[in-house]
Amino acid sequence: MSHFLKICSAGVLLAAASLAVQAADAPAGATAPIAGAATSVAPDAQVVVRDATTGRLRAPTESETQALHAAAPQLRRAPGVPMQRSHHSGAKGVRLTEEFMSYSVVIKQPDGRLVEYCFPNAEAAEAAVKAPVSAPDTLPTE
Amino acid sequence: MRKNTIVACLPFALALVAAASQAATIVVTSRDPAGLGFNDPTPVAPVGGNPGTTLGEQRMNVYKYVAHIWEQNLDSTVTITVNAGWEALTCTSTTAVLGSASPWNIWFDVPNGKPGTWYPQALANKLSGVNLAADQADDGSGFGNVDIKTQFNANLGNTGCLDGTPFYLGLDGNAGSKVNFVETLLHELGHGLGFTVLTVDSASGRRLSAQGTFVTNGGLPSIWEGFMYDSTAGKTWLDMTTAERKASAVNPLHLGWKSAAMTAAAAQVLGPVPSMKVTTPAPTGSGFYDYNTASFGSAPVIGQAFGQLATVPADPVNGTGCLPFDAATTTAVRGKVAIIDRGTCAFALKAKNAQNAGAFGVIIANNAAGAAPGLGGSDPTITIPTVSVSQADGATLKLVVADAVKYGSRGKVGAASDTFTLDTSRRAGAEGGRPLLYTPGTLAPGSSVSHFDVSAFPNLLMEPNINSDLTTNLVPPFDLTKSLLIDLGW
Repeated sequence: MSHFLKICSAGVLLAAASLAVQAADAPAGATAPIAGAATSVAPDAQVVVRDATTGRLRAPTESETQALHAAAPQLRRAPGVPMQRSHHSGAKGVRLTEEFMSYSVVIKQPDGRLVEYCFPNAEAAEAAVKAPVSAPDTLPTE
Repeated sequence: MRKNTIVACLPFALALVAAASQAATIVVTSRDPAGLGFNDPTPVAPVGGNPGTTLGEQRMNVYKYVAHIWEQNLDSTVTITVNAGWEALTCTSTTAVLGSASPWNIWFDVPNGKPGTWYPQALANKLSGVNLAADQADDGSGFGNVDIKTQFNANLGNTGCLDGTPFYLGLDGNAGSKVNFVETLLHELGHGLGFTVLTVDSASGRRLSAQGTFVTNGGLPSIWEGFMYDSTAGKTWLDMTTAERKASAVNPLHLGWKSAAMTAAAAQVLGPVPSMKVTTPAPTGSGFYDYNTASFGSAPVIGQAFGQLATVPADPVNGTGCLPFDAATTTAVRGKVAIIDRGTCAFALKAKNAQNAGAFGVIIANNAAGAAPGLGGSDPTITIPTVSVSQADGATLKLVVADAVKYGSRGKVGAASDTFTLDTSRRAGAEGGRPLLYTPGTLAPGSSVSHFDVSAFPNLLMEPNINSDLTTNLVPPFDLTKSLLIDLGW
């Protein structure tokens, strides 16, 4: 399995594991993601879920697969594989993947102030969104 | 899948954009479907110089505006291509992924470039004078050959997605309580154009191979690496091993951009370093000491005397300064600046105890290695200024206080004192004249060597924190962004 596929699978597993949490934490009246925005799982992804009863990894049920497709926009960042390029000048290249993206994240502080950060990858951005108390500029108090 | 494509060819003659000779052309291509993103028909009122009357129009106008800023700053005979979309990105009521961007194609062995070195496609095209992607097969997406891929959050401001705080789509910088999309996009396109080491994984030090995978041994260097000089290692990333690059990425305040041009630019852009100037009658100890500030009490004022220094005795049982000061300590610190070791209790409590004892100020000496920490906490009853120093400087200052006593005159005990001032021999955000890259001591989320360090003052566009006081001017004496890109070959 290539490096990229490993990451892709890990991302899907993480997203699957967090689905229940996301559903439980969803605020009442929350607006659903815009209709029509792509939410598909990358076709090369290997999707597994951890069974809530047995704790073991298994293939997802149809309903779980549908939930993954519908509820986890971050899955669109699941990287594909790099595509190699060659030019007659001798230059060689690669079409990159989502793994190389820089992410802007905004966190509203308790005092209402907006603090905006640029993160070097999706994992760091997701972590900041889900655990804003650990925002990089949070100062120690003792 | 490519849907309902909008192609916007520039230049875009927005009234607020000053006329200038255009040296590059940027084409923004939408991948949004009908009715969404750039095609969102929601009626909106023109705002801040953005004349669009639908949400989609205003979004595209900001893209064009920002693209034009970059056009004015870049020089290329090859059109730069940006693919853009608006998507449902991760968010909560108080946090949100605003968007993301990256070079989407990279090249090595580029004509007129350094051999065996990775370049982002837009720069590779500029150097070679041709569009290297022109004859390449698409990957099926319809935008596989573009220079830069971007996406931003279509739901921002909706319930459940940074509730009530949408992007500000005006072009005048008056974002108020909204998220300034111009600055966000300007920053992210900067990464897309090459402000990123990109092909080195800073967490591991590994480089990208010619096949596009990170490898522990070998791989090709990024064009950035020859400029990334670690003053501790005494060499650039280009000459480092994988392990050395990994270590350098978490070497705070010692990884800088090494070029004569950037050093000259930094001298124009970066201000002198705010510092405490300590004066002592003893032969040693006088000089500048770096400090950090607190979120409580009054702020230090440059040019203002801080006061005579005094040391609060260590209290390993209760924590230094954590209890109300006894009579001896009160006498020692009254009317002076109390140096207190960090630990056991809150910074604010230490400061309050010092204030109650009559101290005019507090210096918290860190209890761990590293730079002077910012001091969090809150107590509106604290009025005296509190600052922090590093553990090493704290130890030195305590020795200075003790040593000064021996150098009194005419029956007066010698004393050390300090003043808030500017150290004009150094630049805020530079080391040895070299603009610093962001290398926090631990590779925490957000860590990335592909930004200027947060110690830069004034703030720079390409710091990891996208600050609210930025302008859209990318050249000295306002910013260092263009200077760095010129070093790369732009």
